[in-house]
Amino acid sequence: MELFKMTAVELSTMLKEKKISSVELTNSVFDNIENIEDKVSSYISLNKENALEQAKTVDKSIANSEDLPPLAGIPIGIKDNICTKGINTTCASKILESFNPPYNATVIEKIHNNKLVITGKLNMDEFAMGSSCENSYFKKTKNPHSLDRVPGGSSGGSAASVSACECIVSLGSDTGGSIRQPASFCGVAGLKPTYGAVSRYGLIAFASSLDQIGPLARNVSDIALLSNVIYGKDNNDSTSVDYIFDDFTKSLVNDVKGLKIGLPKEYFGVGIDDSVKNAVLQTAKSFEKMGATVKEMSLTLSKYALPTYYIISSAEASSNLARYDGVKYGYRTEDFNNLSSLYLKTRSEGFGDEVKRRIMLGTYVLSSGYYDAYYKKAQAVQKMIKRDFANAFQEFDIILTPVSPDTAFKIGEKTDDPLKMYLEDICTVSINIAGLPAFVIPCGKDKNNLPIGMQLISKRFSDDLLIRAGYSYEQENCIWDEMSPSLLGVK
Amino acid sequence: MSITNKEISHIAKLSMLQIDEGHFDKLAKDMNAIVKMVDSLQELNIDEDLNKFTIEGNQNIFRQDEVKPSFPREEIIKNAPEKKAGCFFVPKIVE
Repeated sequence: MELFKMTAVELSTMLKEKKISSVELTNSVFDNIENIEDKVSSYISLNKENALEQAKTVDKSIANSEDLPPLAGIPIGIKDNICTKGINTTCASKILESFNPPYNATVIEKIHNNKLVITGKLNMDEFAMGSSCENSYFKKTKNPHSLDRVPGGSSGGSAASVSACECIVSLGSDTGGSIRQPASFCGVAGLKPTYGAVSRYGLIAFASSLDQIGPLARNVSDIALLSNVIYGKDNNDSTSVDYIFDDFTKSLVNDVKGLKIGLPKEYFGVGIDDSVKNAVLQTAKSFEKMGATVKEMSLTLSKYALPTYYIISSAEASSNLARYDGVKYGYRTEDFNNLSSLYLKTRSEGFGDEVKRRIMLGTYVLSSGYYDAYYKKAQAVQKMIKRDFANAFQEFDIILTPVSPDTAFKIGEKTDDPLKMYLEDICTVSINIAGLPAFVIPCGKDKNNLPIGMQLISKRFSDDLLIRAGYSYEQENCIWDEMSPSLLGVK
Repeated sequence: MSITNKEISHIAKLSMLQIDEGHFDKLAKDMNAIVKMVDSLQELNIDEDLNKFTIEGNQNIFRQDEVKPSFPREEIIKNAPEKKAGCFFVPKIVE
């Protein structure tokens, strides 16, 4: 098998046994990028020269029999809203087109310390606002399983690149489903960690109380290995939590006996496509067969999660994006005659339509006369949703749901109707509102041969339990063989 | 609740965004649909017991206010669209 198609676990062993070199592996990944990137368009920028330098350094260390971290020499792609010193970080926006960060995000420092090889920066919806990757200023990423369809969003590049083997693993970010929905659409695994588990320092802010960085990969073991790298308290992020997670590879155990799994009926109702519903219910049966108990339950506030999310996230976005003023960094209009017109024109020319809509919605819900009715109310409902989940987790260990109401849709299908696009997030936003961890892995395909994902949710800091459940499912069901897109040829 | 064209113009002004005339109607339509969606929260009553529910570990984290090395000036200013004499350059503000 070509090296670029293999998983980090397999490659890591081969590197350490000196069967391959990191330079060979990195070249193999870049060869594949060269072959298919014009079809998939996952990357905003490539980092080939630096990547090969990094790979060479790892190879030297291996030759000297130095002790190396498990993921040393493994090629990783990074979503373009995570700051990389010396590599442009655009957030897929015109306003940050030439932004060259003077510092690394904490997760990037950790990636460097663990000697992974950065392949490049991945496409996304502008400022992570969107569910299809179509809101990127630069390009539209395609779904590797069907090139006329979207890869999901906002981490569309992160999911498509992993699916198309244009990197071995990747990092995305998730504010309302931005890791999970694209993972589901592209047939890869994606983890949204507990809020505060992974440092947000250097992640370009969208909605700070909801944003979280997480890993995407082609199997559960790789997710565990990459989670070991990125999790942990960071003094540079005041919302980062001082909680010691155990080595996630210890959770790679095939055992769900006695696990109590809840199926919230609100997530299987109207609007959810039958093929998605059936695939996830089939998964529940599989967990039952493996010794878990499965029971229907109710999360009554589910329908209020979407409005709550759009109020809170847009309010925070309107405040966070006030910094783009054409003065300190980023795009500046050429057409201004005073400071006020400099601000106005810079922002109007620099932001795309969706970003403008969210800034305006956020400004509206925070404005005088509407603050109580919208923002304050949404905060109270947020607390009610948290309580709803806390009550559920007194009875259940894991909650199992669909990820998205449907599978990957056609490019252009939902671009004219923002509300239709927002409904894509209906199964995922409540998790961010409650600060919970959630894990998506593939569980089947629909009649068009498009991947379907399932979402496993647990209480805060039980991220390891999600890894165990996902791993057990993966071991019992050969999910990965059918998730390799046909554009890569036979596996 | 619906949002009037006058309100949209006001919000755009507060947001420091200029809406092109040709885009205004579409924006107004979209904003109204979105506001209608978020308005569904109004039907939900906040129960009085909510204050009794506390979220574990939900407290502010403080650190010592210590002086630490920061970034070199050239590094910070390198991304500025216009700079002069090591400073960010803006149009004249005070007459």
